[in-house]
Amino acid sequence: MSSIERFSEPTLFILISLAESNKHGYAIMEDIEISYNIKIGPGTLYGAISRIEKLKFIESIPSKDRRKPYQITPEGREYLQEKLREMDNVTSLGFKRLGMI
Amino acid sequence: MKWVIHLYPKKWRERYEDEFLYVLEKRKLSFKEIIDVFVNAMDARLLNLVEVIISMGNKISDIMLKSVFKRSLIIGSIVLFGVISGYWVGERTPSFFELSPKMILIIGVGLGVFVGYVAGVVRGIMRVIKVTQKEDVFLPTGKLKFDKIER
Repeated sequence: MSSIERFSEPTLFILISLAESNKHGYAIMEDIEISYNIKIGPGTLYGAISRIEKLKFIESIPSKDRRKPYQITPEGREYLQEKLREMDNVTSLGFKRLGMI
Repeated sequence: MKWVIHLYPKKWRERYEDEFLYVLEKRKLSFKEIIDVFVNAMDARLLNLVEVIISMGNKISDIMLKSVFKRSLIIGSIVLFGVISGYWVGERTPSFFELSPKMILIIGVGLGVFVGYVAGVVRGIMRVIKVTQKEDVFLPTGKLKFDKIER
């Protein structure tokens, strides 16, 4: 299992959050809590941020503020689209086999 | 709760300390979140260690390659110098049969001294290489004095 897969959920949540607008770490955390009604620890959040920043899926925007905003990169968008398509395929198949669609 | 930042490696703190502390200031950490920070800090330390090991491995490979390159340059230069000198000497010296016995004796002694000198230098170099292949030699400054040929 690759390091990105271990953190797939926080990674997706962060990328989805940044797909809407640029945000700093605490704002991402709040957005995830409001959108999915789950709490994400600061350790997990920054663990995921540091990994996806290394993978160049997100990048920090230079700022004098101690809260550094992040933005999603084209590579990050591509990765997010690919993952969402995969999830969509799995969801569709699941619903189909349950006879719900 | 700011102390938890010190669980992370220095390199990580240099990059994320300010924003991470901002999150810690804005949020009262629960026990579960302290555990979360602890686990992720250990993960960051482990990753940092792996990166250091990989970086050291790359540096050692670079040093070895540079060492081989330098030695090739020195040996190549000596061989080239020898070939050019040999050709130059061969063009200007009379045939062996035209030399007087006295001159042949002088050349023989000269050649013997030269071969002995080269053999001595080569033996010395081989001894140094043999020692440095087994263990690193450090200067008082802590720098590696000789490069290893093999790991």
